[in-house]
Amino acid sequence: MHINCLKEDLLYGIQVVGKAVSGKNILPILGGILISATDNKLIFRATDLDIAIECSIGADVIKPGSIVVADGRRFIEIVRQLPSGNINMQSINDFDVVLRYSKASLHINGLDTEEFPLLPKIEGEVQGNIKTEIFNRLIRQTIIAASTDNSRPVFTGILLDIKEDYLTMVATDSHRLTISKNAWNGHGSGRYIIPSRTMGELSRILSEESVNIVASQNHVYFQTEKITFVSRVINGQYPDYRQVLPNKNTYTTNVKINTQKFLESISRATLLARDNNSVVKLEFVKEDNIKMSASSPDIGDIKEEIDAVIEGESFSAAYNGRYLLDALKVMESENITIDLTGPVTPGLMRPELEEEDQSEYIYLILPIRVN
Amino acid sequence: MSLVDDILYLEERLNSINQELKELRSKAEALETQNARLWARFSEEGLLGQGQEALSRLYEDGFHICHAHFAQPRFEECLFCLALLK
Repeated sequence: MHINCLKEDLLYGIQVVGKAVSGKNILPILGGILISATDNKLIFRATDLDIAIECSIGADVIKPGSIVVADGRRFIEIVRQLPSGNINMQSINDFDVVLRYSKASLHINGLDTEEFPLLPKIEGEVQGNIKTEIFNRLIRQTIIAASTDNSRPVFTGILLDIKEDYLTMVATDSHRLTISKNAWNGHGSGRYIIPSRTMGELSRILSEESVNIVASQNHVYFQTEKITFVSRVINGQYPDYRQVLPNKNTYTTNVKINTQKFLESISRATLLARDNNSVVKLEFVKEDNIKMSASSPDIGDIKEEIDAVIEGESFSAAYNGRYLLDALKVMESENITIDLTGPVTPGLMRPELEEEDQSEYIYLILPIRVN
Repeated sequence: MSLVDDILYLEERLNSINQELKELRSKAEALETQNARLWARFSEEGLLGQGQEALSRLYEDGFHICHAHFAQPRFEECLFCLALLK
C-alpha cells in the first residue's frame, strides 16, 4: 500500500473508527486499526466486537493494499501531533508502515491484515432512513434515563421500537422512563436493544445529513455516505414500557410552565438540595404558581415561586432535582406541560409541540417519598 | 376438475371450518364461565386481595416486586413495581 493524503483527513478517519478500538488486551488485533487503500479512497476499520466502525476518506492511492496499525489509540495520538499538510504512507516489511511528512519519517509496527475481523454482513428486513439531526435528538432525549447498572443489561440499552413509519427510542432505569418518537422513511417492524454507550458514541460521530438504519436479530447497522457503524444487539426481553404510562383519566393536575425559567430555578435548588437524591419539593398551587424549595443542613435553603398555569388539584410532591434537570435540558421547546397523577405516582413531562410536528417526547418521573 | 366440483370442494371446506369454529367457541365459552366462577370464589374467600396485599407489603418494606428486579432491595421508587400495584 502506498498513498498520499492530508493529515486532517487521516486524523478524521482514524478518530471516527477510534471509538471502536478495543481497550482490552484480549485479542491484540482488536487494538489495531485496519487501513485499506482502493479507488482513490482510504477505508479505516476498527472493532471491539461490540461495535464495528468503518469510515472512508478521499486519498491519492499510488498502490492499493491494506495494513493494520498495531496500536490504534497510540496511532491516533501520533497523527494528531503531526504537522498539517500532506502525509505519505507506505507499507514495508509485510506488516509495518512508514509515514513521511515534511523532511521526516515515522515507522509504525503493524499486524497481519488477514487476522482482522470482517464487518458483519449487512442484512435485515427492517430498514429506513432518518435525518441525522432528528436521530441525534431521539438519542439525546432518551439516553438520560438509561441505567448504568450492568446487573440488568436490557436497562443499560436504548430500545429501538420500529413500527413501519415510526421510529421510537425508549430508555429506563426503572425510576424514570423516556420515550422519543418520530416519523421516519422506513418499513418493517421490530424491537432492538442497543447499548446506550454505543448510541452515545454514534451520535457524536454522525455529521452527515441523514442516516440509513438496517436492523437484524443480532446487529443493527447505521450508515451514512462515509461511515458504517455496526452495533451488537443486547439479548433479552425489554419490559412493556406502555404499562407504566398513567391513564389520561388519572391525571389530577395539569401544569404549563416556561422551560428555561423552570430549568434555572431547579438548577439553583439542586445546588442546595440535600443528600444523594437532590430532593426538591414542589408545591403545585392551583391557577397560580409552583412553590419550590430545597434545603441542605450544611449549606442553607432556597425558596422560589415560579409562574405557571396550573389546572386541577393543588398538591405537594418531592422530586429528584437531577432527574428534573436532565429532562428540562432536552425538552427543546419554549414551554413544557406536566401531567401529574398524585404525590406518590408518576408524572409526565412533555415539550409543547406544534400540531403538525411528527414527533413525540415523554419523560416519566416518579416523586420521591420523604418523611 | 370442473368449476362445480371446485365449488363443492370449497363448500365442504367451509362447512368443516364452521364446525371447528363452533367447537372452539363452545370451548371458549366454557373456559370463560369457569374463569368467572373461579374469580367469584377467590374474591369471596379473599384470596385475590391477599396476594395484592402481600406484594404491596413487600414493596413498602423496600423490595422490588416487578418482573425485572423481583425481590431485590429497592432504594428508590420503581415505575414497574408501581404499575403492578395500581
